[in-house]
Amino acid sequence: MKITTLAAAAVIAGMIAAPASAQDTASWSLGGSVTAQPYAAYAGNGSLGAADFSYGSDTTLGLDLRALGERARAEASVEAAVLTGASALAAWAASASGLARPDELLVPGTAPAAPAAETLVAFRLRTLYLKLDFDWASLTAGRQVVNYNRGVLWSPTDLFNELDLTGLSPVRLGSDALRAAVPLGATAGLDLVAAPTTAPADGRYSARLSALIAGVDGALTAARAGKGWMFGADFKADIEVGIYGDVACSLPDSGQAGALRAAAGVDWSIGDFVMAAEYYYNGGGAEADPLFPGTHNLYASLLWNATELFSLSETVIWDIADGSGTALLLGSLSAAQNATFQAYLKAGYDPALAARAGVQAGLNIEVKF
Amino acid sequence: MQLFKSAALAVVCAGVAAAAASGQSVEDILARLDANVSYESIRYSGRMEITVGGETRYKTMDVIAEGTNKAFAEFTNPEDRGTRYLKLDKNLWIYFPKEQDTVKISGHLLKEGMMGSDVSYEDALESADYRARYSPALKGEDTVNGRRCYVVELSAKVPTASYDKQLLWIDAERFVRLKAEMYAKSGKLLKVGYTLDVVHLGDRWFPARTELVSKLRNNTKTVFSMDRIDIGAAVDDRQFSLAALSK
Repeated sequence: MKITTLAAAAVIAGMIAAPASAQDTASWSLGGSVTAQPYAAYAGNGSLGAADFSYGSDTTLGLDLRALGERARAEASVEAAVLTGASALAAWAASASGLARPDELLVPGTAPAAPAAETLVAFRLRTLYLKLDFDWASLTAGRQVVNYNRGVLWSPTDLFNELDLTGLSPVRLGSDALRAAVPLGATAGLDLVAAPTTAPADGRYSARLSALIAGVDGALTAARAGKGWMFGADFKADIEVGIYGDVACSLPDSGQAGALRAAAGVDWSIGDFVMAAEYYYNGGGAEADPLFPGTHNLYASLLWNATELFSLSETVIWDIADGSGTALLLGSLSAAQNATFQAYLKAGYDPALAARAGVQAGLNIEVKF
Repeated sequence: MQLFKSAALAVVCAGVAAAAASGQSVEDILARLDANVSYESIRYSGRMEITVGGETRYKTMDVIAEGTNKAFAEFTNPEDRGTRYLKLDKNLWIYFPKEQDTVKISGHLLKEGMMGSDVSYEDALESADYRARYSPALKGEDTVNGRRCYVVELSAKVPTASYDKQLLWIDAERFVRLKAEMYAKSGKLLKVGYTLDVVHLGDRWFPARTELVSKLRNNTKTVFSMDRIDIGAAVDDRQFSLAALSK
């Protein structure tokens, strides 16, 4: 039985029957958001044919249900989306690729033979888990985000997350996992996570020890990931500016040479400007990191908080070796209470593709409730 | 100009003389102010109203704090629901529920506005114990909203103080701060704070509604209101831990 199924049963049980001791304080809440993201895109090498342009939209209803008792918590986060145009075609393509990840967008039915059917409804189960809190530990079962990241973009020791870069900011996707967190004082802890697969030997299992020592947040991680081991260390500290680092070494069972991956970053601010820069070394190529196969990569961001309600940011991701990269210019306005309006311009360049350059302009309107 | 200086000097001297005549040293005044706003523990519901031009956004939160170095806040408004803050001494962590991510805030960001407000993380973190961090000097008396106030100048005596200098207008009867000006090292006025509502809780006067105006930006202000204030609330020390942040 899949862990998700187990977790679903556990969540429902948790919602129906909170622990007896917690009956007085049990509560639940329902919140969510509605987002609309229309966009237009161009991909070509200077030609202006109709095929070089595409249009699409993604209108999503997200619901977050949370039940809370004194020692138990159950959460479910689901999304239903209406996709049109290029967004629908991209979803069909991803669904057909068979590279589904745990919280992949679920597209019912099979892809149409012709690309004419450009509207579809899709679903996504972001999280679904039950968490039990005891004085000595907490246990979590189900689809959850096990977040070990230090960096904005790259965290080699963050082995349970996959990055989704299709949106306006990196999103870390959930894993189907069992997690036990044992606090060791106020700012230290031991974290044990198991994310088994159908073949348990191919799963991911980790132990992570973290602590705040002399103002430095640090952690050591040892993990069994597929057919090999991974050992990692990461930290975050302040020396006038914020600095962080993350290094992981993978050692395959085959006896082949291991792969070293490391990331280091810095963030600082001057007045209303907040800046961050990150460097990522990937010694394992596409096998170690399919999303960023290049050996040397850079990330930089500049955020200008023009007012309390409006900000402008520029983000650049660059593979130094092959010259490919993306840049995103984003304006965010708090348009009303609980409502955000964003406009963006995204440009990408990849010398390996036939259509080397691409530009996308779009809006993102979000209302939370 | 000389006349103005003389008049100002006369006001200052008169104020200092009046305070001395009433038997209040500046240390006494600050001690009574600290006594009003210091607590072993506190629990309250807060509301932050951020106004820029004619636009106002609100944020609500539940807060629990122990002493001056431990605080835990959870935001309850739809936009930020479930976002939590943990303060332990000068360290601050934020938990983002959607990402299930705990992030330690970098030191330089402590001067940035918290959740888009004029209240910096540093303002929120700063201990109420003025005497531990500032050297006071009585500058005279003034009137704020019709109430007689002592004007006290505070000069930072420890590097961890949020501001190099502050001017406080302290209610001469209730010993509550009615107005404050915060200055940078350069002497530039950074922020002005006003107390809009004072409540009587047990044997103390407590500022339950305050306004903070940034002087570095135009037409912005943040009003912070405290409701259901429970001073001396029972607190489980495990509340102030990273484990509780993601509970």
